[in-house]
Amino acid sequence: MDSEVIFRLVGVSFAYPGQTPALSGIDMELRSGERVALLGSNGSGKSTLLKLLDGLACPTQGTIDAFGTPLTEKSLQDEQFGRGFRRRVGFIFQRSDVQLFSPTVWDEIAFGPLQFGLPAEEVRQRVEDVIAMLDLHLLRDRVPFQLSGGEQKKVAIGSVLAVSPDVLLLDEPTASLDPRTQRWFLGLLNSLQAAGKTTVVATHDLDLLPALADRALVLGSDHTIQADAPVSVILSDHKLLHNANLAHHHLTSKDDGAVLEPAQLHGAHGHSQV
Amino acid sequence: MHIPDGYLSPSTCLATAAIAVPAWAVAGHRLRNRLHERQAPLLAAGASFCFAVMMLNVPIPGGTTAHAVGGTLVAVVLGPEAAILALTTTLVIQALFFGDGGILALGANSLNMAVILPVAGYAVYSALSRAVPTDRHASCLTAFGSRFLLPAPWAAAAGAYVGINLAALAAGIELGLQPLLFHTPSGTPLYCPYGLKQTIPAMMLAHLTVAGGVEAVVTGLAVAYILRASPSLLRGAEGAEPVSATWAWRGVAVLAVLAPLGLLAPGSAFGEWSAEELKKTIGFVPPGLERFGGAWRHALLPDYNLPGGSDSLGFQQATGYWLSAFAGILALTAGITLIARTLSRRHSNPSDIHRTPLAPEDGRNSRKESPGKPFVSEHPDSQIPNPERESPIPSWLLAPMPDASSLALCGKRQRRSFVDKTLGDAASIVQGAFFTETITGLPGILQRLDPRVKIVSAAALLLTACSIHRPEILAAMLASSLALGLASRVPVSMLTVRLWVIPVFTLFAALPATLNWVTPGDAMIVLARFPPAARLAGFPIPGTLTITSQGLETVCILLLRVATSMTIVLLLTLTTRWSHVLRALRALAVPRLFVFVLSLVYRYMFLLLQTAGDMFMARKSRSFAEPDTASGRRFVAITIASMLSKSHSLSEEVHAAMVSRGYTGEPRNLTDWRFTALDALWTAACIIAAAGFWIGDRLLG
Repeated sequence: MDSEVIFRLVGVSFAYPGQTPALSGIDMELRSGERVALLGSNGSGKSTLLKLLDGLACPTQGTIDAFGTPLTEKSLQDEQFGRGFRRRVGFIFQRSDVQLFSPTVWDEIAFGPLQFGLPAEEVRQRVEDVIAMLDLHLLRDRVPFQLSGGEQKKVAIGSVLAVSPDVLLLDEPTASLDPRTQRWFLGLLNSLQAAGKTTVVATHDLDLLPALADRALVLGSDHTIQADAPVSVILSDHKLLHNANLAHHHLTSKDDGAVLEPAQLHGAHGHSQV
Repeated sequence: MHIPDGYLSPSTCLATAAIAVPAWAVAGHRLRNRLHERQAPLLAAGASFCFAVMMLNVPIPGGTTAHAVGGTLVAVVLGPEAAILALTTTLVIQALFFGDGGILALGANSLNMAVILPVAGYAVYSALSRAVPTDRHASCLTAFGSRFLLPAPWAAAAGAYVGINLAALAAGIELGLQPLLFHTPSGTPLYCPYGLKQTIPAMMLAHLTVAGGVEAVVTGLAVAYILRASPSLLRGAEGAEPVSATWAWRGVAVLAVLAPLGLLAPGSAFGEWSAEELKKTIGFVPPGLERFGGAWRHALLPDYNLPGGSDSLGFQQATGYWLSAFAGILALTAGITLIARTLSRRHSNPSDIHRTPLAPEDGRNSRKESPGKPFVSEHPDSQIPNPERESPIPSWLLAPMPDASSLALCGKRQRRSFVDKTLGDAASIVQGAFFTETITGLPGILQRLDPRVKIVSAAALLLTACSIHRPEILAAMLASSLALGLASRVPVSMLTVRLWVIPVFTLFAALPATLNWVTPGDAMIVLARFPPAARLAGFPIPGTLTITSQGLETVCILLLRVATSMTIVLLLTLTTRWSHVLRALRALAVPRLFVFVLSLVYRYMFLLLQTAGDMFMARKSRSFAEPDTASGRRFVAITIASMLSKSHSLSEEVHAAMVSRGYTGEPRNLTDWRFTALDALWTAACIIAAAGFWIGDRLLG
């Protein structure tokens, strides 16, 4: 844990204009190479926190330091810092269809590298490599927003990886994937993590949690951080998970304080389909 | 109301653009000051919204449909500056991809639909509404007397009605001036063949009744829905400081003064005619105008007799139009105010729903209130909602389906609803745009050209086509551009499918212009003879109804020019990748903001249409019968309103996704553009062709 602190949030709150706060009083640190999960039920502020980390919104209170520099609207407008920050931090959005805006899959993947002014040859090489890595050969000339949900997610991931960011922010990456693609995705994520990438994954899928992260932050319905601990600790704290609406008692269980076996835990994802 | 290329003379195009460009500049400047970073997604939201609105058919009594423009709605929600730029973007996309409105005519179309419409609509809205939260505006309100003020939806409907009608009036004036100003010595009109006495009544009749009504109803309903669903939208976007209405009023005043004068002034400056010729041309009064002209002019404007001999008629008429435009604005405003007064008396106790929160909420205040909420982790059940604690399932939900609902076929078909039609429209457009991308990859002549060269040469050729007056030359131009299309492997079927709509519409619209009643001239075919003193609706009519050679010629010219212009634009868009068009526009010094907005719009136009389609689908899956006109209209209005808020959040998200990957608004492509030998050859060929056509035209004419 001696690695460099890349994100430091102090007393961060955020509210969308004219609305109730989406985050309040967030204090956290992120170190290089960490595998972190953001846990929380729908509307707890996971996506907002990721947006703040990506500098797409600025906190209404508190400060965020990224790579040792305050992350503000002004610093992001600084040509060098802005560019450097965007190159280091990649964001895979929850909705792939808003993230894909280019005419073809090939262009979509080339978009990021082009923005950073890489030489044309390197851009081409990177796009080809990403296409090979993600097995997108058949899709390369297709229109991204006509693809299926899983294909879109693949392209979205590829388009971010083409920039080769050090920090990957992923918003519900597994939500729209079928089980097989999910497994493929976990493999990819793990090899990226093994390569030293810092990953922050927002999720409410408790089953996949151990495979996604080592450390978990739990956001409560009150938009504050309720826990920040290793994944194994979080997963065994059923009361906490229950309170955060991440797990629910089995319908037959009548004992409020009952400690449930992990097998009886259901992610909110599963619950929402009941 | 979209005027295609070919209907307006190049000088009119320039004159209208000369008014539209400063309006864009002012709007862009004000918006930049007001919104800074957020302007691009906001504008794109407005533009794609307008685009989607124009795709939605609104059911009107009588079983048919019309579409709304939504300009006033955008002005009310995003402010008039944003509306000007958003509507202009919409017009650009429509002109480029769907042949709706011309490229050269963009100035005129923008002036009508993107400047006059939202500015006038917003001015009326802000004058009548009691919900516009501006301080500066308050003084303006007291002048009117607050008891005349209306709930926001009514005011927005009134604004929409006035806005669309003024826009139609402007279009009518622009079109109607053409035969008066531009015709051959023998009397063949060179552009739009209809004079003011035909264009203004035609435009106004359609817009005062159907189109204006649709726009007003849809806007009013949409504003009412927004007030209920997301009133914060009406406070100016994203908590930005509210828009002042005085500027909109000043804009209206300036436009009212400038519009007709601006149309005439450059007519002489453009240099198409020498001063003497111009005098001769304008001094020439078609006999038809003499015969009918007096009637309505004297009825409407009895003081019209301005000093000046017959050779200053041009100026006199300009003054006449100025006066009638002014009178029109006054009449409309007076009418609306009158209606407003009647309505406000009837609605003297409006429900509070219609009131937007006037005091701008201070972000800090609202923040202070909420974080203090106590956080109780020990007794969670008291604070945190628990999804498990659901109410019991009602018994009817668990009961089996009663067998009253038969599944047997009854043999009666349902009418295809406006919902299906709208979905069909959206789908075909999306497909059309996708298909375009596949042609851009083919190895053809045009695909190999530098996009910058292509854009410039297309503009030059459009201008050439627009200044050519001989049908033979225009036919030659059309043929050569079609040949070019074939050489670039654009499928014939595609050219024909995309090309027939507007020219066929033009043909039908222009056919009456062959008659001597519209275009006086040498008789070719006599269709009917009338007794000497015959009168039609009180007007004396000429003894014969004939097809004149001048009339036939003008229709030919118009048709050929419209078809040629459309082919040129089609070839440009079919053979150039959209991302390359954007970068070329940037290279040609189009402002970055505008290019950025164009790129965003193109992207989530589809998303928005998809969303609308989903909403229609959802409705369809839950309902059986074809909705009646009224509920159908309400549904479209609600769709429009929710599309507006959706496009708003969508645009934010797409913008965020682009920024997150390093986008700064500068379009970048991989292709290295070099001015190749082919480009040089093409440029030379274009210059030679344009010069050849032009000289040939002058020789023949």
